[in-house]
Amino acid sequence: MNTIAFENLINPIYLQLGLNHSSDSSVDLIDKAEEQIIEDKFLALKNNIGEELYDKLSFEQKVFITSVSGAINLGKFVNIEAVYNDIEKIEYER
Amino acid sequence: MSDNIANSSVKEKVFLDTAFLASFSIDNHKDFFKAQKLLAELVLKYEMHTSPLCFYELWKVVKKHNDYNKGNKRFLRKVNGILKFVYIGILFEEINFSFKKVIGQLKNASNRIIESKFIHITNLNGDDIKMALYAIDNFDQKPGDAFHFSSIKNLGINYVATGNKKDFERMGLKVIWFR
Repeated sequence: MNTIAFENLINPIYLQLGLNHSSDSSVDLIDKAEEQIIEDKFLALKNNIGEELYDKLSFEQKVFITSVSGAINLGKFVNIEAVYNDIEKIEYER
Repeated sequence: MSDNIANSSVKEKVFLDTAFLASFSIDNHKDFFKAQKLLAELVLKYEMHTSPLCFYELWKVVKKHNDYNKGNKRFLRKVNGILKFVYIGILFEEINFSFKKVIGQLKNASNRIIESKFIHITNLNGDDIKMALYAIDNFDQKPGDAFHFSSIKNLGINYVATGNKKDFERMGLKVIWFR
Protein backbone atom coordinates (compact mmCIF):
# COMPACT_ATOMS: atom_id res chain seq x y z
CA MET A 1 0.00 0.00 0.00
CA ASN A 2 1.52 3.33 -0.94
CA THR A 3 1.73 6.22 1.54
CA ILE A 4 -0.96 8.39 0.00
CA ALA A 5 -3.51 5.61 -0.08
CA PHE A 6 -2.72 4.73 3.51
CA GLU A 7 -3.18 8.32 4.65
CA ASN A 8 -6.44 8.64 2.78
CA LEU A 9 -7.61 5.63 4.71
CA ILE A 10 -6.38 6.55 8.17
CA ASN A 11 -6.67 10.36 8.29
CA PRO A 12 -10.47 10.58 8.50
CA ILE A 13 -10.34 8.25 11.49
CA TYR A 14 -7.67 10.32 13.20
CA LEU A 15 -9.50 13.54 12.40
CA GLN A 16 -12.71 12.20 13.90
CA LEU A 17 -10.81 11.34 17.05
CA GLY A 18 -9.37 14.85 17.19
CA LEU A 19 -5.85 13.66 16.48
CA ASN A 20 -3.42 14.91 13.88
CA HIS A 21 -1.83 12.14 11.90
CA SER A 22 1.68 12.88 10.71
CA SER A 23 2.79 11.79 7.29
CA ASP A 24 6.38 11.40 8.54
CA SER A 25 7.00 7.71 9.02
CA SER A 26 9.95 8.49 11.30
CA VAL A 27 7.65 9.58 14.10
CA ASP A 28 6.79 6.11 15.23
CA LEU A 29 6.61 7.19 18.81
CA ILE A 30 3.88 9.67 18.04
CA ASP A 31 2.00 7.07 16.05
CA LYS A 32 2.23 4.64 18.93
CA ALA A 33 0.99 7.29 21.34
CA GLU A 34 -1.94 8.00 19.04
CA GLU A 35 -2.72 4.32 18.78
CA GLN A 36 -2.61 4.12 22.56
CA ILE A 37 -5.08 7.00 22.85
CA ILE A 38 -7.46 5.23 20.47
CA GLU A 39 -7.07 1.99 22.40
CA ASP A 40 -7.72 3.81 25.68
CA LYS A 41 -10.82 5.46 24.28
CA PHE A 42 -12.13 2.17 22.97
CA LEU A 43 -11.38 0.46 26.27
CA ALA A 44 -13.21 3.17 28.21
CA LEU A 45 -16.17 2.77 25.86
CA LYS A 46 -16.15 -0.99 26.32
CA ASN A 47 -16.03 -0.66 30.11
CA ASN A 48 -18.94 1.74 30.08
CA ILE A 49 -21.34 0.09 27.65
CA GLY A 50 -20.44 -3.53 28.31
CA GLU A 51 -18.79 -6.15 26.13
CA GLU A 52 -21.97 -7.43 24.51
CA LEU A 53 -23.05 -4.04 23.19
CA TYR A 54 -19.46 -3.08 22.37
CA ASP A 55 -18.99 -6.15 20.17
CA LYS A 56 -22.07 -5.28 18.14
CA LEU A 57 -20.57 -1.94 17.09
CA SER A 58 -18.54 -1.65 13.91
CA PHE A 59 -15.13 0.01 14.05
CA GLU A 60 -16.59 3.09 12.37
CA GLN A 61 -19.38 3.30 14.94
CA LYS A 62 -16.85 3.02 17.78
CA VAL A 63 -14.77 5.81 16.24
CA PHE A 64 -17.87 7.96 15.94
CA ILE A 65 -18.99 7.41 19.53
CA THR A 66 -15.56 7.99 21.04
CA SER A 67 -15.00 11.08 18.92
CA VAL A 68 -18.20 12.85 19.98
CA SER A 69 -18.11 11.72 23.61
CA GLY A 70 -16.73 14.33 25.97
CA ALA A 71 -15.67 16.63 23.15
CA ILE A 72 -16.43 19.62 25.37
CA ASN A 73 -14.29 19.70 28.49
CA LEU A 74 -15.53 22.21 31.05
CA GLY A 75 -13.06 20.97 33.61
CA LYS A 76 -15.59 20.49 36.36
CA PHE A 77 -18.38 18.14 37.27
CA VAL A 78 -21.57 19.13 35.52
CA ASN A 79 -24.82 19.22 37.42
CA ILE A 80 -27.61 17.92 35.22
CA GLU A 81 -30.24 19.96 37.06
CA ALA A 82 -28.33 23.10 36.18
CA VAL A 83 -28.32 21.98 32.54
CA TYR A 84 -32.06 21.65 32.52
CA ASN A 85 -32.46 24.96 34.33
CA ASP A 86 -30.22 26.55 31.76
CA ILE A 87 -32.29 25.18 28.94
CA GLU A 88 -35.41 26.48 30.65
CA LYS A 89 -33.80 29.92 30.96
CA ILE A 90 -32.79 29.83 27.31
CA GLU A 91 -36.36 28.95 26.42
CA TYR A 92 -37.60 31.79 28.55
CA GLU A 93 -35.14 34.33 27.16
CA ARG A 94 -35.69 33.31 23.55
CA MET B 1 -31.37 -1.04 27.23
CA SER B 2 -34.66 0.78 27.25
CA ASP B 3 -37.74 -1.36 26.74
CA ASN B 4 -39.23 1.13 24.37
CA ILE B 5 -36.49 0.80 21.76
CA ALA B 6 -37.81 -0.59 18.53
CA ASN B 7 -36.74 -4.04 17.33
CA SER B 8 -37.63 -3.60 13.70
CA SER B 9 -35.03 -4.36 11.02
CA VAL B 10 -35.99 -1.09 9.31
CA LYS B 11 -34.39 1.70 11.24
CA GLU B 12 -36.80 3.99 13.03
CA LYS B 13 -35.90 7.66 13.26
CA VAL B 14 -35.05 9.26 16.58
CA PHE B 15 -34.60 12.93 17.41
CA LEU B 16 -31.77 13.85 19.79
CA ASP B 17 -32.66 16.83 21.95
CA THR B 18 -30.30 19.31 23.59
CA ALA B 19 -30.12 17.64 27.00
CA PHE B 20 -29.03 14.38 25.38
CA LEU B 21 -26.47 16.08 23.13
CA ALA B 22 -25.08 17.93 26.16
CA SER B 23 -24.90 14.78 28.25
CA PHE B 24 -22.62 12.87 25.92
CA SER B 25 -20.76 15.88 24.49
CA ILE B 26 -19.71 17.43 27.79
CA ASP B 27 -16.93 15.64 29.59
CA ASN B 28 -17.58 15.04 33.30
CA HIS B 29 -21.29 15.45 32.79
CA LYS B 30 -23.28 13.75 35.51
CA ASP B 31 -25.15 11.63 32.96
CA PHE B 32 -22.24 11.17 30.58
CA PHE B 33 -21.98 7.38 30.97
CA LYS B 34 -25.71 6.76 30.63
CA ALA B 35 -25.86 9.03 27.59
CA GLN B 36 -22.87 7.37 25.95
CA LYS B 37 -24.42 3.94 26.43
CA LEU B 38 -27.69 5.09 24.95
CA LEU B 39 -25.81 6.63 22.02
CA ALA B 40 -24.25 3.21 21.36
CA GLU B 41 -27.70 1.61 21.41
CA LEU B 42 -29.17 4.28 19.16
CA VAL B 43 -26.39 4.12 16.59
CA LEU B 44 -27.12 0.43 16.12
CA LYS B 45 -30.88 0.60 15.84
CA TYR B 46 -31.93 4.11 14.88
CA GLU B 47 -31.44 6.73 12.24
CA MET B 48 -30.52 9.72 14.38
CA HIS B 49 -31.56 13.32 13.70
CA THR B 50 -31.08 16.63 15.45
CA SER B 51 -31.57 20.28 14.50
CA PRO B 52 -29.50 23.46 14.33
CA LEU B 53 -31.58 24.77 17.22
CA CYS B 54 -30.19 22.00 19.45
CA PHE B 55 -26.66 23.20 18.68
CA TYR B 56 -27.68 26.74 19.58
CA GLU B 57 -29.01 25.50 22.91
CA LEU B 58 -25.95 23.32 23.51
CA TRP B 59 -23.65 26.29 23.02
CA LYS B 60 -25.76 28.35 25.42
CA VAL B 61 -25.50 25.57 27.99
CA VAL B 62 -21.70 25.65 27.63
CA LYS B 63 -21.72 29.38 28.37
CA LYS B 64 -23.94 28.93 31.40
CA HIS B 65 -21.70 26.24 32.81
CA ASN B 66 -18.59 28.30 32.29
CA ASP B 67 -20.32 31.01 34.27
CA TYR B 68 -21.16 28.55 37.05
CA ASN B 69 -17.62 27.21 37.08
CA LYS B 70 -16.32 30.71 37.63
CA GLY B 71 -18.67 31.31 40.52
CA ASN B 72 -21.42 32.93 38.51
CA LYS B 73 -20.08 36.41 39.32
CA ARG B 74 -22.86 38.16 37.52
CA PHE B 75 -22.23 41.56 39.08
CA LEU B 76 -18.52 41.49 38.27
CA ARG B 77 -19.26 40.46 34.73
CA LYS B 78 -21.67 43.36 34.37
CA VAL B 79 -19.05 45.79 35.69
CA ASN B 80 -16.45 44.20 33.51
CA GLY B 81 -18.73 44.56 30.51
CA ILE B 82 -18.91 48.29 31.15
CA LEU B 83 -15.17 48.54 31.74
CA LYS B 84 -14.51 46.59 28.59
CA PHE B 85 -16.36 49.27 26.77
CA VAL B 86 -13.70 51.72 27.89
CA TYR B 87 -10.82 49.29 27.27
CA ILE B 88 -10.05 48.46 30.92
CA GLY B 89 -11.75 45.10 30.78
CA ILE B 90 -8.48 43.24 30.38
CA LEU B 91 -8.05 43.54 34.16
CA PHE B 92 -10.94 41.15 34.61
CA GLU B 93 -10.43 39.09 31.51
CA GLU B 94 -10.61 35.79 33.40
CA ILE B 95 -14.10 36.52 34.71
CA ASN B 96 -15.75 37.31 31.43
CA PHE B 97 -16.96 34.60 29.13
CA SER B 98 -16.80 34.82 25.40
CA PHE B 99 -17.76 32.13 22.94
CA LYS B 100 -14.48 32.81 21.19
CA LYS B 101 -12.63 31.41 24.20
CA VAL B 102 -14.31 28.05 23.82
CA ILE B 103 -14.71 28.09 20.06
CA GLY B 104 -12.21 25.26 19.65
CA GLN B 105 -14.30 22.97 21.81
CA LEU B 106 -17.54 24.06 20.21
CA LYS B 107 -16.08 23.40 16.76
CA ASN B 108 -14.79 20.00 17.79
CA ALA B 109 -18.02 18.89 19.39
CA SER B 110 -20.25 20.29 16.66
CA ASN B 111 -18.17 19.33 13.62
CA ARG B 112 -17.75 15.75 14.75
CA ILE B 113 -21.51 15.42 14.91
CA ILE B 114 -22.20 17.33 11.70
CA GLU B 115 -19.58 15.47 9.70
CA SER B 116 -20.54 12.03 10.92
CA LYS B 117 -22.85 9.91 8.84
CA PHE B 118 -24.69 8.70 11.91
CA ILE B 119 -26.48 11.90 12.92
CA HIS B 120 -28.46 13.91 10.37
CA ILE B 121 -29.04 17.63 10.79
CA THR B 122 -32.51 18.82 9.88
CA ASN B 123 -33.21 21.88 7.79
CA LEU B 124 -35.66 24.45 9.08
CA ASN B 125 -38.07 26.04 6.64
CA GLY B 126 -41.40 27.82 6.44
CA ASP B 127 -43.35 24.67 7.23
CA ASP B 128 -41.41 24.35 10.48
CA ILE B 129 -42.49 27.82 11.51
CA LYS B 130 -46.13 26.94 10.91
CA MET B 131 -45.77 23.66 12.79
CA ALA B 132 -44.06 25.45 15.68
CA LEU B 133 -46.97 27.84 15.90
CA TYR B 134 -49.30 24.82 15.88
CA ALA B 135 -47.37 23.28 18.80
CA ILE B 136 -47.61 26.50 20.81
CA ASP B 137 -51.30 26.77 20.06
CA ASN B 138 -52.21 23.13 20.73
CA PHE B 139 -49.70 21.99 23.35
CA ASP B 140 -48.87 25.27 25.06
CA GLN B 141 -45.19 24.78 24.23
CA LYS B 142 -42.42 27.31 24.52
CA PRO B 143 -40.83 28.40 21.22
CA GLY B 144 -37.77 26.14 21.50
CA ASP B 145 -39.71 22.95 22.11
CA ALA B 146 -42.25 24.03 19.52
CA PHE B 147 -39.49 24.16 16.88
CA HIS B 148 -38.18 20.77 18.04
CA PHE B 149 -41.71 19.44 17.62
CA SER B 150 -41.94 20.87 14.11
CA SER B 151 -38.63 19.28 13.08
CA ILE B 152 -39.73 15.97 14.53
CA LYS B 153 -43.15 15.96 12.87
CA ASN B 154 -41.98 17.19 9.47
CA LEU B 155 -39.44 14.35 9.33
CA GLY B 156 -41.97 11.75 10.43
CA ILE B 157 -40.00 10.94 13.60
CA ASN B 158 -41.74 9.07 16.41
CA TYR B 159 -38.98 8.81 19.02
CA VAL B 160 -37.11 11.43 21.03
CA ALA B 161 -33.98 10.84 23.12
CA THR B 162 -34.37 13.44 25.81
CA GLY B 163 -34.19 14.39 29.44
CA ASN B 164 -37.36 16.41 29.05
CA LYS B 165 -39.88 13.61 29.31
CA LYS B 166 -43.15 15.35 30.11
CA ASP B 167 -43.16 17.97 27.38
CA PHE B 168 -42.47 15.54 24.57
CA GLU B 169 -44.95 12.96 25.85
CA ARG B 170 -47.54 15.70 26.03
CA MET B 171 -46.95 16.24 22.31
CA GLY B 172 -47.70 12.55 21.62
CA LEU B 173 -44.09 11.46 21.01
CA LYS B 174 -42.39 8.30 22.30
CA VAL B 175 -39.64 9.23 24.71
CA ILE B 176 -36.36 7.34 25.09
CA TRP B 177 -35.25 8.29 28.55
CA PHE B 178 -31.55 8.25 29.37
CA ARG B 179 -31.28 9.46 32.95
